[in-house]
Amino acid sequence: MRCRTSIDGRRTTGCHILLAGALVAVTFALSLLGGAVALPVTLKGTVTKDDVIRAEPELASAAVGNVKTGATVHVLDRRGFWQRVEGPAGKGWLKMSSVRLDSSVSAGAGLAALATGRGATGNIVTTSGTRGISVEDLTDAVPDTDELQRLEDLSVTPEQAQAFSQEAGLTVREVSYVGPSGSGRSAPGGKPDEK
Amino acid sequence: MRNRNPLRHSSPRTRLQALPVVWGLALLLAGAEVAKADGLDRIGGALGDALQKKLKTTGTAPTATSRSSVDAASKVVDALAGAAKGDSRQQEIELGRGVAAKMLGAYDLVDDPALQAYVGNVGMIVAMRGERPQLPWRFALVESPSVNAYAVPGGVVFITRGLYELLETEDELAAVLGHEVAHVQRKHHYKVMQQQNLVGSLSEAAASQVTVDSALLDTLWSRATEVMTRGLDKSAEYEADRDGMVLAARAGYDASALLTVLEKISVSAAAGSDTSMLYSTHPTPAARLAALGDVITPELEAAAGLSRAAWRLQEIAADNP
Repeated sequence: MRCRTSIDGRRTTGCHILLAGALVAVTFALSLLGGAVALPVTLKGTVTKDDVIRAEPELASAAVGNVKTGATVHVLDRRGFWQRVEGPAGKGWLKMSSVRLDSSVSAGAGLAALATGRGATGNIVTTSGTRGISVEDLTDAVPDTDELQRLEDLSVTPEQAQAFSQEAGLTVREVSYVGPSGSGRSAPGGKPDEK
Repeated sequence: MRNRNPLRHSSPRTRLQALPVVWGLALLLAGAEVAKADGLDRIGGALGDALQKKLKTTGTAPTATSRSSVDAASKVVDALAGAAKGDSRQQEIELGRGVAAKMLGAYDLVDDPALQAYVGNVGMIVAMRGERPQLPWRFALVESPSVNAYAVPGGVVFITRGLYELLETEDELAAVLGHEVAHVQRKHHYKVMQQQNLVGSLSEAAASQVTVDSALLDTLWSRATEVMTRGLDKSAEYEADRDGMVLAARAGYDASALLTVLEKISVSAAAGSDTSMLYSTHPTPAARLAALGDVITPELEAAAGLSRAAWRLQEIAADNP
């Protein structure tokens, strides 16, 4: 998409997407500097689980208060798994998994952007009211081997993916599986069946 | 384009009959050599055409699926005691490809090679951090306004346009694909198909195509596809969330991205997006968020925060208006 300017000086919609992208980039740069992502508006949320508010956005940080299920909090910032909230017990960091955002604030355009505070993509569309594929559509479908061949043609080799990963500067990390079935196990699904 | 109904029921019936035959032959041929097969491309062509012709002359009219025909089909197939075991990994792949073909009878692949390559690359980056990197993985975007994604046994992952368009960052895409890779890795759907005796039944029936009513195959394929539309145990979904989060984090992506995706799905559902199938097959986003919050380790916490690839998703969107 090239940013074109028409004779009367008005920009095309494609240009708006670019501008939105630039805005996102700036927001992102600022967020790197600040460490936290400032939300464009204050969001309200409901606490879904009794939890601890901490001084810093990390598990090891000191508790500065508690929140009860059902309490209303204002969400101010977000960082990783954490949200900075203001509630009955004051300000502090609460796990985002313990808060459900108030959906009424997020109806309408840009709802997803509000939900993360990471800026709009310009490609979000409202799909309200349109229905997709049903169970019957799938079970009654006639197999499409031509489309399956097109799917096979979409293959990406590990080498291509590796290059694509490096291009963006992604770095592989050691992270252990978590949870009841994951802890202490290195290979879900049994032994790897690969060579 | 986005609201286009991609249903297609106009394909010739012979196609329907030919696929299981091809699949059955693949199983008959199964051995160390076939274990390297990458889909149908090795076994289609003239062989498939010849079989189609054979079917046209001997073919039986497919009949409507009913409970009694399912039962009858099961009995017939059960009677064909367990030969054709072959390579179980290859069996899983071939079964998955058959299910994928059926799903692609209802869904169109998004006709955008650059976008498909992008989704494929991110999927592979995540899959390579898992336990089955050598599967013939395919990651594809399908046309549908619904918010959903599927993990077909053997390594086929579909994500709907409706879900993709909720995503803002590559981290979030990696989180979604990680969840699906985890399903395949744990063989969640494949195990259900095995429990329903569909895996052996299909291989037997497909191998015996000439003597078995093709309505039986229709029924079996429908049942296998139905598994993709029915919910797994909730525990399997929570497991896929946890494993997927770990795989994405290992690949260098934001470990917390799955949480923002779940939040978006929740918000999008409240705003009226079609999340009906997703909601009928998964615990609520709020329950999944809460469960993830309980398993955060310092290691995951250290892997939280946008990755350096985060905004690539938006660059792709800008390049492909």
